[in-house]
Amino acid sequence: MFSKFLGLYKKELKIFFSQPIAYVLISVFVAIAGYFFAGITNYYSEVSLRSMNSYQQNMFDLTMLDGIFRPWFYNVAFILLLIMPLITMRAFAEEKREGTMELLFTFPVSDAAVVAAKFCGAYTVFLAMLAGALSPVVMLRFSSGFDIAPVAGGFIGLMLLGAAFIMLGTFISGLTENQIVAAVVTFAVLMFIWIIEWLSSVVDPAVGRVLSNISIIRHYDSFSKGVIDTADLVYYAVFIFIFYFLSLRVLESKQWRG
Amino acid sequence: MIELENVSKKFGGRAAVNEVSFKVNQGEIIGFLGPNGAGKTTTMRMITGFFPPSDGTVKVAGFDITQDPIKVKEQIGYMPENVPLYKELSVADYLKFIADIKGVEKARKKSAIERVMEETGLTEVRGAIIGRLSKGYRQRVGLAQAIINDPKVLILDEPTSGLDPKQIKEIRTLIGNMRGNRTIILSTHILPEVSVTCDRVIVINEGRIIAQDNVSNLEKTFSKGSRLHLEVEAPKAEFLQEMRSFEGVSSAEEKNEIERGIHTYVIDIKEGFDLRREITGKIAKNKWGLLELRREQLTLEDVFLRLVTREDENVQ
Repeated sequence: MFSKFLGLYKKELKIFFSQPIAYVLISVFVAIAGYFFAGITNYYSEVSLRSMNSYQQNMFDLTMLDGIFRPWFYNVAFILLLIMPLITMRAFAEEKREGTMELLFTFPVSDAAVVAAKFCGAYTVFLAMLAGALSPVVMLRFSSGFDIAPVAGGFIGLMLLGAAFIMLGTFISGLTENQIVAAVVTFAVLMFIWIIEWLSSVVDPAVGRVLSNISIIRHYDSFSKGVIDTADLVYYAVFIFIFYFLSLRVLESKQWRG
Repeated sequence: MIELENVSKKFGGRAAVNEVSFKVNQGEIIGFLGPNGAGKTTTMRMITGFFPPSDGTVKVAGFDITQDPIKVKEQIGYMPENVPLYKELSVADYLKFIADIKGVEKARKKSAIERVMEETGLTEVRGAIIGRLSKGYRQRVGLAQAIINDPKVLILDEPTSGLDPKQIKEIRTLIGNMRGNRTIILSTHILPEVSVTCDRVIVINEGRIIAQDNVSNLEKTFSKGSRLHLEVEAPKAEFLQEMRSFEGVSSAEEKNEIERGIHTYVIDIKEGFDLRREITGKIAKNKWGLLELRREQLTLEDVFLRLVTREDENVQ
């Protein structure tokens, strides 16, 4: 069974990296993330230099974590929101359009393995992106000392956030034959789950608490501070599981839709 | 080997396949014949486990498709119509993927891939990207993926559609070579294909089986009688009336007018009658001019057309 999953996974990767889109997305992401990092770091060093010269050192208590990494992590999360739908859009939509889905379903593999391989394939591309974005952080570590642990927490959070994005995108890709539709809808849904928190100030406080707990970025907040909270871990795990399950149901619906 | 019992498939209330039952024995090559949209592909997809039937049971090698889908799928090699393939992969990479997913053992994987490439004549294009191959080669890749795990059952949906005559011949030879003790179902709407390759024919129309037999029996059963082609110089209406008045003529039609007063006719004669003498006698007696007379036994094509049109009449 595992070797079948591995075969599917290898196929996903081969197809990803046989097309320019994977390279384009990885380099664009790394470039944008790096640009933001440079900008934020530059601003931070200017501010801290000025506060050192102003004889009011105690006024400036901004650590590198709060001054550089937290805002940068949020930036990266937002860039991911824009880019991830482009990675997941082809997952099932392309197979449907090309008709390869028909063959895929006559192979002796379970739907569970098919969905898992789609997820893992896209996730591998995402990890390559994230590894690229890590390079300016490593460079900064050489030139200045900062505590690695909370930054690592932030990265773990990004990995979970990315996993949630990918699972949702894979699910939506299974609903349509059109990659563009898949990308746009994925983006819209992610955006909605992202900003749903804003509604919490205008509705009943009890409902508002629920809404802000649904928000996908809210659960990233403690990660960005380097804190790994079980509640947030559970949120992402449940989120991924729900959309994995829904993807399976969508595949199964071919049985009555034909 | 394959058993269908009262199988139906409905899409939104419309039955694409209706109460179909048939059996295929091991080693048989079955031709699935029918016009486009008759339900051939739907029936094949149910056998391959692409989707389950709405009603009835499908069994392959003793396994029920709804209960043991994976077991059934392991027995089957399937080539869908239009042969959907991953266009980005090379032939060798694609076959490697298929070998993995079909559970070919690691030790035998390499030799299995070499064997199917040899068998389907793909060895020289092993490194080529599938998207750049010609239609004929893609068809071969489709066949190669179907046979890589040496399945007991092969299901080929329109294996020769869209190929040029030379490629059609090659693919037919390949299919012929694959028989051995494999059970093969192939669908087509091209009749010669069936008479060339198949042991038995199942004719399907509007989701129903309307005939199943071997090729020569089918021809015999439905070609009770013969057909006469005539070219006669005679008043049309009068001639047709005279012809229809013979006992043993099942139909007499004018085909077209060649010159003024000269028509060609097609006359179907029932089994056990040979009216050639009577007809020429009648023509001589009326002083008409007989320019051509040719007798023809019905071909599979005629049988097929008859079956399909007969069914249409019933439906109406």
